[in-house]
Amino acid sequence: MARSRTDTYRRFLYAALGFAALLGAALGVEALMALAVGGFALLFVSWGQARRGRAGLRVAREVYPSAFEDDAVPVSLVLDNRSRRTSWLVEIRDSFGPAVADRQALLEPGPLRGARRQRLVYRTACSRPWGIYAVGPLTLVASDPFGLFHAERSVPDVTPFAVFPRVWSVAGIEKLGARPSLSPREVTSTRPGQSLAYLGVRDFRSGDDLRRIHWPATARRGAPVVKEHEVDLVPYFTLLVDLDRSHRAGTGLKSTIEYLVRTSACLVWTAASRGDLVQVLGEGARTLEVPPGAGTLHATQALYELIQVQQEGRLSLLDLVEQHRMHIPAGSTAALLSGSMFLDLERLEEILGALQARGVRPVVVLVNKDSFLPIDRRAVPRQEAEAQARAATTLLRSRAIPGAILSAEHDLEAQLGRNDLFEER
Amino acid sequence: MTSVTAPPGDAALRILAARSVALYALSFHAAASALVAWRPSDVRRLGLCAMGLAMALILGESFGGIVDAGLEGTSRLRLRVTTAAAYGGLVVLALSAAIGTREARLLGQEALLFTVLQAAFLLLADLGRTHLGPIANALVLVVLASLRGGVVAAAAVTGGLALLGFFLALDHSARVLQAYPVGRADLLGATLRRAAASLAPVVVGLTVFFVLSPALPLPRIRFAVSVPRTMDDEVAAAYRRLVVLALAGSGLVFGVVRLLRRDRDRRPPLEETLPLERGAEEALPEPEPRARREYHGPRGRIVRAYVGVLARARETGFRSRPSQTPRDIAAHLPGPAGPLDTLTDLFVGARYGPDEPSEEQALAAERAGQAIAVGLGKKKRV
Repeated sequence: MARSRTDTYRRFLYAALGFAALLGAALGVEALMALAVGGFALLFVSWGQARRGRAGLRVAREVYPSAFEDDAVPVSLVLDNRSRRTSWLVEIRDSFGPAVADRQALLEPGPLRGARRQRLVYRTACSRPWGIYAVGPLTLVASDPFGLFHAERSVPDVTPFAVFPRVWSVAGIEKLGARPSLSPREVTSTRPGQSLAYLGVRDFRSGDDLRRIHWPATARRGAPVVKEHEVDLVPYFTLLVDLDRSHRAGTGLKSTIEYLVRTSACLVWTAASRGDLVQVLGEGARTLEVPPGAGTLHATQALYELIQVQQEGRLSLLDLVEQHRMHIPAGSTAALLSGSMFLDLERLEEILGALQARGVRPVVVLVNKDSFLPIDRRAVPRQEAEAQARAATTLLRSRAIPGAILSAEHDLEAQLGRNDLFEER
Repeated sequence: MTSVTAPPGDAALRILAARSVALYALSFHAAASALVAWRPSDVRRLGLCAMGLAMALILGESFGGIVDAGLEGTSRLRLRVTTAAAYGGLVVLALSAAIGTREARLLGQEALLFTVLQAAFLLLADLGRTHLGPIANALVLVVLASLRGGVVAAAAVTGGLALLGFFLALDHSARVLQAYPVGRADLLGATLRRAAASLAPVVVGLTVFFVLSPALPLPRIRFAVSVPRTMDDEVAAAYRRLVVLALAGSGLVFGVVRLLRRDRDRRPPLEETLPLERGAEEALPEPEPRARREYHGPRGRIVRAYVGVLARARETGFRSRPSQTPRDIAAHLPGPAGPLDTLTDLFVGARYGPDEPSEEQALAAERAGQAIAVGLGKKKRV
């Protein structure tokens, strides 16, 4: 917008016309005074036109408040001309936080007639990494026909915009529970329910749906008999995220928080996509608690909570699991995502055993924080880290628990997409 | 995406060409006015002037960027400051000498000098972000012509201001269109119409002024004996020739600049200029008329008394917020407490209560209103 305007002419006219007025008055030359008066009249008219041009204009923004990294986002602007005059060359400046550029400058060349509304759309991209950004304020600039004066109106329309981490399908998780089918509700239990799987027949009771009457059996018995079906078991996925501040390491894209949030997002999205009921639990600077729910909207809510977490918690992952053990239903999958490999393996084994005993399928993902740049504490020596990784792998293998270790040298997208992510260890 | 400037569309090119024409017309008008005022004006000289200025502008608009491209920001600023200082000094010196000596011959030489300078500025027209050089020099030429008085001065001032306005309007449109990927916006006609509408009162006003009060020349000018004084009919003939030459030169400038002009602007990196997709234009919904409740009888008299007190209080500078209740307002209103409480109670009952107030209550409210109005004192002068 700065390129489109200049104050040079206006300042020059102030000086030159003032000089002409003085010269004209001093020499008694009327033409020079007329030049000065005419010039100042022109400046005055321009000033008034710029003000009037801005007075009737209103602008508002309409944008869906979230998107994934690198998504193209259409932003709608509603420009109202509430005056009776036609508007021309209206410049609009927006500030879309997730974009690389600080400002987005737009031009509505006109004509925008009086008492009319114009809908405008610009497209930009979420080029910045996941997080909550501000969108706005909007600025409207109207000018006089000569571009001498620019009247600006700032619209304090600042709204938050959530950028979610890009999600990749975690190929390994599809095998957990062996239900990579199109129908997410095919697992049933041999209890009376509403599934399509046939269980048997029983005597008619008051309140039963007449459409369920099994007419051949009714004819045979001489009394009404209804069909019974099995109950659906809803697949259930619980993610327990380690947000212990002692596991902070690395900076920017290569940091434990980055790996934890991205891996969590991918696990949640994959589970939600296949139809699971998903819940997320963690204890960071504030409690992360996404109650169980299904569908894209719920997954989006989970992502929204995940991008706000901070690795500032004081509760270890194992304590977190202990605390929420009762919230993990039997027959479900529980993913334990740790920011460090250095967990108390004995206690981990005990907890995993307890989960398995209740019919929960545990999955363990460990982020090797010592592979990242150390921040506030020294990294563990390489040999020690390798020994711990072997010990953890042995433990998981001995209990037939799927697990994976993610390190800084791994390309996260490629690693999470591997089919054998949970198999080789 | 940080975009670079898209090539200007045909609309921007037309406006750029029109801007060049306006600049040419302003330059030629100013130069011709000064020359006609102070030098013998014949067709050959004016034709030479018109050709020279047109060629200078065409060369400047087409190839001036070559000079610009070779200069860094600091060098450009240094050049601009040095040139401005030198030029300012020259203007002051020239005007001081002309006014001091009051020699017509010297004024004629200065008119010629600044005409040559105008051509030089046009050659460098594409240097920098603005066209301040040719504009400033054109104004100096107009000032020189103004000193002559009569029709020449009137035409120089009126025409100069009008052409300056057209140039500024076209420059503004071109600048804005070049800064954005606009697409198919054709604003040439609209720009000219808007500029004409804004300039009309000023130009008409100046014309009327010069008709009613013909401009007097600089007093006590000494003309050389050999140079006869120019008569008004000669000036009129000169202006007819001038218009023909200006039209021919403008046509040449428009055609050549449209053919050769290329855009070279680049945007600052942290601002992206994005194309806008325009949806269908729709009429704004009519604002709903504010429903005013009608009050009749004693209820109406009480409400009117209260509203009258509030209006009177506003005149004295009292401001109430929409969130304030009548009792809040009464607590802050600088009036006599007794009548204020009475009126507030009566108003609340009349405005929100179910029962119709009595005639006595209406009278009491009106009396309280008058007492409060007296207590509020005189109107605050703004």
